[in-house]
Amino acid sequence: MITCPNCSARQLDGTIFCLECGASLIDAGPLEPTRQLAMGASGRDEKAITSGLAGIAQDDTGPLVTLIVVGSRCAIDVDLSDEVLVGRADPTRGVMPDIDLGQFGGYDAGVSRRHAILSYKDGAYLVEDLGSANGTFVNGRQIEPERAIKLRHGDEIMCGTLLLRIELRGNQQ
Amino acid sequence: MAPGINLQRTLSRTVLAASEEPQVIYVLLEAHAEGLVQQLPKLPLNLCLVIDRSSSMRGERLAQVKDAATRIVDQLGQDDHFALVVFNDRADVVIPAQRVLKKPDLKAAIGQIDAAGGTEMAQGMALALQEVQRPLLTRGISRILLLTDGRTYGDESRCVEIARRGQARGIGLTALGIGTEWNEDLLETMTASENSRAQYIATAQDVVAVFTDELKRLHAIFAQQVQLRVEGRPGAQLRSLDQVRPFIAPVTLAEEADRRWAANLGDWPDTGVQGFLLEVIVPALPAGDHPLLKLTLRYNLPAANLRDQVREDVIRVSVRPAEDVVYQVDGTVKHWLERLVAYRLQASAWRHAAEGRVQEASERLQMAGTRLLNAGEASLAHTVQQEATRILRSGAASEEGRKHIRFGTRGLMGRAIGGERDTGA
Repeated sequence: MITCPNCSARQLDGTIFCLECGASLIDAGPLEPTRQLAMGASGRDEKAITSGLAGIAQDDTGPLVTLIVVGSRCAIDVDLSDEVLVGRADPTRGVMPDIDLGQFGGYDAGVSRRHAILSYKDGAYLVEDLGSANGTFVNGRQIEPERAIKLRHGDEIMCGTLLLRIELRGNQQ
Repeated sequence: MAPGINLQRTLSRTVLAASEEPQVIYVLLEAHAEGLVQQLPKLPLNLCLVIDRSSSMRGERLAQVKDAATRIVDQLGQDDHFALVVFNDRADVVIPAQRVLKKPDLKAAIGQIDAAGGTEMAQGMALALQEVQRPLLTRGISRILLLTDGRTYGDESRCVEIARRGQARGIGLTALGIGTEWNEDLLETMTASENSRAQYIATAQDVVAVFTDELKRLHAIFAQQVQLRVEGRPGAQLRSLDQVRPFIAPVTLAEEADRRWAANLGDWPDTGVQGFLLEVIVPALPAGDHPLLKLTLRYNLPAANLRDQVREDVIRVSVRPAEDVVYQVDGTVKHWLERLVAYRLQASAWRHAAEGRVQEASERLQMAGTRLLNAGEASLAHTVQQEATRILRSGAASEEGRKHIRFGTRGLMGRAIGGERDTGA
């Protein structure tokens, strides 16, 4: 069975759109949640991102943040020693973002394949929209594309209509 | 190659992961004419126009309808039959059913129609059914073509009853609504049967094109009484069958026996593709190749004097151990399913709205908009999203927006019958 990321209805494996609410279930997939996270976290640098369920990252050298996918109550630990691409995986087009929001209903929420970049520079945590189709919003305000914006602990970041919250760790000011 | 119907099918997934649970697979069936059916003689048409001549039709609308009717007469031949019924508060036979021999006389009669009075559709439908049954045809295509711009009051159930009586005798109904005042529930109910459909004509300028297209489609019919029978393996279930090309329409499934379903698919033109989407529940199966469904398409080719032609196909699924299977969905199947889901979502939105559940109605429309956007229907998606907002703010959608969405999602808007465009997959 698959659980619809939008309305939590249980659907038979292979169902493409939820019979209850019509949301796409393609990204929901018939996989275990832990495996989804591990897959979503795969990227250029496997060590850079670890899943919340896999435990806290061991090395405390890099600037660490946690992204909470509010609707799914999932936490993704992210190491920002390098730029991190947020988007929606599309293997057929060769797009594999570091953080794949596809598994959290990103397709229906209007997350672009290459949606935004998270980074850490000179002591500041930054988010930059990559000219995504449906925009990136910080605390409800749409940010300009191609321009990095500072993030603070607890800020809400919306990609399309998918809501994320960022928690800064070790530097929670 | 002998004339007939070519049947192709695409599965949403070619390989299924072995599972202890049942799973869903979607089958897209696409049928088209093969073997030079265009060289078969044309089947004679037996057409009755039923025109609303209530006072709201005055001016541009009636002028366009008269123009369109005149052109239909021009395109009919000596073997075809034509009748014309008009109605307002009462109904009249302007042209009794007859062979199309004296075109100038028929056109002169069309020219005499003027607009006045109210709208009582059932009377017009009753006369039309009477006229269309007059000619004694050994073979041919009988159709009623109804055009209205207003609401009929108090005789809706009689309209539906008359439409059903005709459909049961193989007489299809094409109902065209013009403007925003007509009752789309009524026209949709009247045409919820094979060989029938309703269409929304937003502007009078489209009337001639719509009539001309309809006549072209009728002239192109080569297969009649197409019937699909589906037999499933033990545990398999056919959950739904919907037409998706050239336009979306749910198909009534009769469960003839355990795991055996049948559906009437009506008459088919030799132009374009007839597409159907089947939702099938596959029971838990071990790894291996398994037959899932047996399809039997049965049809008549009256122009070739061939009855009960049969095309059979067995759909097999390949089941592999879960770890060897990459979950992948066929793009074309997903495209048509996405459009079908958009249609279903908007239908559910109107049901919610009618029950006063505004929030749910708006959510359904929002999701329908997302589905349409993904299916490449940006402009329709925009209309849907506007109405989703409107319904949330004011509790109701606009008449125009609702008609646009109801018929737009089915591909029954304006001039073009949907589906002729690329699949976009």
